[in-house]
Order: sequence, then C-alpha cells, then structure tokens
Amino acid sequence: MTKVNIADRKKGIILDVTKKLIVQYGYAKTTLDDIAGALGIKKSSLYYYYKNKEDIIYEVMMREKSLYLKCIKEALEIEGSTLDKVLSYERAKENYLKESISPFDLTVSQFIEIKKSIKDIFKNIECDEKQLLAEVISNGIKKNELKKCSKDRVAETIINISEAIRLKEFHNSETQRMKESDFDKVREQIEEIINLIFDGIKKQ
Amino acid sequence: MELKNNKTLTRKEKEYLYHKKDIMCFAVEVFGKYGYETATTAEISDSAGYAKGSLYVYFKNKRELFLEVVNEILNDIVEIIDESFVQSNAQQCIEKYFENLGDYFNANRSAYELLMREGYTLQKGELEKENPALSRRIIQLNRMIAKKLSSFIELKNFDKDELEYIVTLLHTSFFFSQMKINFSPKKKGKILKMLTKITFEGILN
Repeated sequence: MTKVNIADRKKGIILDVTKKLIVQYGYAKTTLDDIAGALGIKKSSLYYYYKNKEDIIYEVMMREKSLYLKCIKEALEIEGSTLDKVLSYERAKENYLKESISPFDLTVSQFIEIKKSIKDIFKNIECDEKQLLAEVISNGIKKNELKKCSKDRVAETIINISEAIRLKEFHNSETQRMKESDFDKVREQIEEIINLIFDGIKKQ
Repeated sequence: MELKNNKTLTRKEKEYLYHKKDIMCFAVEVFGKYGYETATTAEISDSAGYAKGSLYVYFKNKRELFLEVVNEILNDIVEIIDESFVQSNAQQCIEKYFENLGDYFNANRSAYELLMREGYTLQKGELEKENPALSRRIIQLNRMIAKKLSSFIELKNFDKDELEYIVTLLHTSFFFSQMKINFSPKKKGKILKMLTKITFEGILN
C-alpha cells in the first residue's frame, strides 16, 4: 500500500466519524475536539489532513452529495414511462433518507439547523437534482409522452411538494424525531400527488 | 358580551369591543413570536400598552385569548375562500385563493408564524374537548374548499374525501414548502399557483 492510500483511508475514517457526530449532536455543537476524541487522536493531527472544521464538513457533504446523486440517478434510469421513473426516484430518495439519516437520533430542528449552516452545499445538491429530474421530463416531452410544459418548473414543483410533505410529517410527529416519522405515509402521499401532477384533475 | 348589530351597541359596548380587538392585534404578534407556551399575558398587555390586569376584563385567561385570536384568523381565511371562489373555473379559483392567502399572510406575518408554530397542537384531540366549535372549524376549512370545488363540472369524478385530500396536499405544500429558507408567504402563493396549474392540467399527453 502506498502512502497516498493510507492518507486517503484515514481521511475517509475522519469523514465517517464526523458525519456520525454531526447527525448526533448537530452542526454547531460538534467541535474538532469531539472529532479527535472520537477517533482517539490528537486535535493537532487532524490539522495534518484538514484545515478546519468547515473543511471537514465540506468534504463530508461532498461525499454525501455524490452518494445521494448516484442513488437518485440510478433510480431515474430504470426502464419504463416517465411516471415510473419519477416514482422510482421518489422511492429512492425516501429510502436514502430513511437509511442514511433516520438511524441517528436526529430531531427536525437539528436537521434544519444542519441544512441552514451549509446552505450552499444543499442548494448545490438541489440544483443538480433538479437538473436530473428536468432531463427525464424533457425526454418524456421529446417522446411525446408528456405535454409541452416547462421542464424546470415541473421538476422544481415536484421537488418542492415532496419536501413539503416530508417536512410536515417530521414537524407533526409527536417527538419531532426523524427516525420516528412515518416514512410509509410520506411515501404514499408523495406518490399520490405525483400521480395527480401527471394525470391532472381536470377532465381532458 | 356578544357582537350585535353595530348600531344598537351603546358607546360602552363599542369601546369594549374596540379594546378587545386592540389587544388581540398585539396578541397575534406575541403568540407568533414566542409560541403559545412561552408567551405571557403580561407581555401582551405590555406591548399593547394596557395595564397588566386589564387584559382580564376582556379575556378570562391566556388560553381564551389565544383561542379567540385563532378564531379571528380562521374568520379571515374563510373570508379569503369566499372572496376567491367567484372565478369562472375551479383552477382560477384555487389560484386566486392561494394568491390571496399569500398576500394575507404576507401582511400578517405573525398570524402565519402562529399557525406554523401551533398548527399541529391545535389539531390534536385536546382542543376537541375544550372548544369543539373551534376544533371543527379548523378541520372544515379543507372540507369547505373541497365542497366548493365539487360544484365545478370540469373536474374529473372525485368523491368528497378525495377532493378534501387534494386540498390538504395543496395546503401542506403552501405551509411547508421551502420552510428551511423562510420563504415569504407571498412567494409561496406564487409557487402554489404553479403547482395548481400543473396539477389541474396534468403533464401527461
């Protein structure tokens, strides 16, 4: 094993631990001391790999971003109609949230705090996500499967409403803890509105 | 004291109602800012410029004041519904409704904050025992819009429950979309306009 690989591996471990600490204690409360402590190394050793806390968090988020985008990209690439693709994407998104975030005991306010503190990265992810979705819709229009509609607006609307339904459920869950929110109910509601968006409620 | 025809009210009664409304205006702000649990009646009377005790001339306690404030907001929303459903088709009505709702909450940000903070607790079972009339009114907002929608013939055949569910989803989208970046209600009204258009017409060919 070359030296570069060892450094990369160590960096990977640091990122794993940091992610775990952030989702457990929130962004603001996680310090470099905590991260070093959890790794069993000195704080100064952390500086060998990263400049500061923001630097680590940024890397954590970038790694998370590529995992997440890969996951929804795969979901959007399934065979079938545009509706199938969008539904598959929503399911993948829901699963991702359920598996990567909910195992940690994260409250809604912590989640929103994390989102606020690294707003730029989230905006960046949303932007890429919107593009992926818009592309699928634009393909649907080309194939004459969908009406001529603004692909960006439709993509934005779909992202907005599923986010709204998700937040409402977190917000209203008794303890406001994400892991206890009813993921099945959320998925059901999202699927229903997506069907409505595709089908329309007006007689054709 | 109940509101009768304004002309038959004595001067004293009018004054009483005036002060009551005055306090409620300030109460919305305090409740919106701090939430029901943390807000105190002292704070409310203070911000409204009343002596601490005089609030109790108009309201029995904090709870009663709070419920009256909520009732007032509901009155406003019902008015918005009635004003909006005068268009010639369902889609325009819903679009107008969310536009008006956005404008209303934009002008009354504290009312919006209050509903966001307390909306869930208000829908929980306790209110049903405490104030069944108010509790019913909240549930009936969705039903009221659904009922109005059902009179439009251009819609597909949905039953009442389905329509109510659709309205609920639209409301969810209004209140919870972009919650994390604190969108202004007016902007939310615009998002809803887009959503309404798409949901009504559908994007499938």
